[in-house]
Amino acid sequence: MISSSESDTKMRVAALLGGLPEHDPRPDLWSRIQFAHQRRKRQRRRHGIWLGAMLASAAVLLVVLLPRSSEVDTGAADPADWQAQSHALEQEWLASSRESMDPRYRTELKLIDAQLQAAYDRGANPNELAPLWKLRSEALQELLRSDNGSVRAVTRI
Amino acid sequence: MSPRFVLVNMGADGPAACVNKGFGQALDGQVLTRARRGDGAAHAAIYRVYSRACYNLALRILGEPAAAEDVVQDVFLRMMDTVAGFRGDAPFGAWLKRMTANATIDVIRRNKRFDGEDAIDDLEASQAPGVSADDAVDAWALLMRLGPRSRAVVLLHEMEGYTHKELSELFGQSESYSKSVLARALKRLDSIAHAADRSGEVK
Repeated sequence: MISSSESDTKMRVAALLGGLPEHDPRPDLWSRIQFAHQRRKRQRRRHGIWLGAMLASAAVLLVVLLPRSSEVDTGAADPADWQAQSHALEQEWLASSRESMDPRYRTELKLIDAQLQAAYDRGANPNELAPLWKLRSEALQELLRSDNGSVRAVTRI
Repeated sequence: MSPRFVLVNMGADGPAACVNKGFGQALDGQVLTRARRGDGAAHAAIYRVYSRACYNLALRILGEPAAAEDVVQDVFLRMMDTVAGFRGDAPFGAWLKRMTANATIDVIRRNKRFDGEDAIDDLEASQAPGVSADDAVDAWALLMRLGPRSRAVVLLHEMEGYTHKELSELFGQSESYSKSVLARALKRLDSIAHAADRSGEVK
C-alpha cells in the first residue's frame, strides 16, 4: 500500500525523470562499432585457422604414431611367447629348491595364476593375456635371481 | 506541479504511451530475419532504431558520454554476435534493454570510479532548507547528484519498468537492497525537486 506522500513523491520524481534531456550518440559511433566488429571477425577467423592447423597436426601425429605403437605392442603382446617363457622358468624353478620360497611370493604367483584363469574363462584376447604371462615370467625370474629363494620385489598386481 | 510523464511500474516494454519510443519501438520482422543471417544493413537498421535509447540509458546511469558510448559499442557488438540465437520470447527492444542494463552495471562493477555511493553524501549535504536561485537545478543535474548505483536503480525501476526482483538479480543483491536504495534516492530527489519547484527552478 503506497501512502499519499509516497505517491506524491513518485509523481514528482516521475515528472523530474520525464524532463531528462535526450542525447544522441556521436554520429561516427556506428562506424567505430562496425570496425570493431570486423576486427573481431578477423581475429576469430585467425583463431579458427590456428585451431584448425593445430587439430590437423594432432591428427597427422596420431596417424603416424599410432601404427608404430601398435606394432610395438603386437610384438610384446604375443601371449604364446610369454607363456612359453613362463613354463620354462617354472620348470627351472621347480628343479631348484621350492621349500625356500618366500610365502609372500607364493601368494603373488597364486594371484597371477588366478587372474590368468579368470582371463581365460572370460575369453580374454591376447592383448590382455600377454601382460599377465609376462608378469608371471618376471615373478619367476625374480625368484630364480634371488639368493636362496628370498624375494626382493613382492607385489606386482 | 502536474507530472509530465508518469512511468511507474510499467511492463518490460513500457506502457502504450511509450511504445513508439526508446526500447519500446517495434522492430520490423524482416529486418530481424536479415539480422539473424548476419546482414550488415539490418544490423545498421537496428542501430538506427535503438542506439539512442541505449546511449541515453547508459549515459544517465554513468554520467559520462565516453563511458556510455563504450556501453553502446559493447551492446551492439554482442547483439551482432548473438542475434542469430534470439528466439523472440520477449520483444527485441526489451532484449536489447536488458543487454544495455547488464553492460552498464558491469561497467559500474568493474570500475571503481563508478562504484560507490559518495554522491549520496553530496546530495545529503545539499539538502539545506530550500534551494537557492543560484543552484538552478535541472533534472539532469539532480540525477547526477546520486551515485551511479542509485541512478541505475531509480532509472531502471521508475523509467524502464524493472521490478525489485529483476534489480536484485542485476546487482547480485537482495530485493531489500534495491528497495532501500530506491526509497532513499527518491526521497532525496524529491526533496530537492520539491524545493526547486516551489521556487520555479526545475527545468
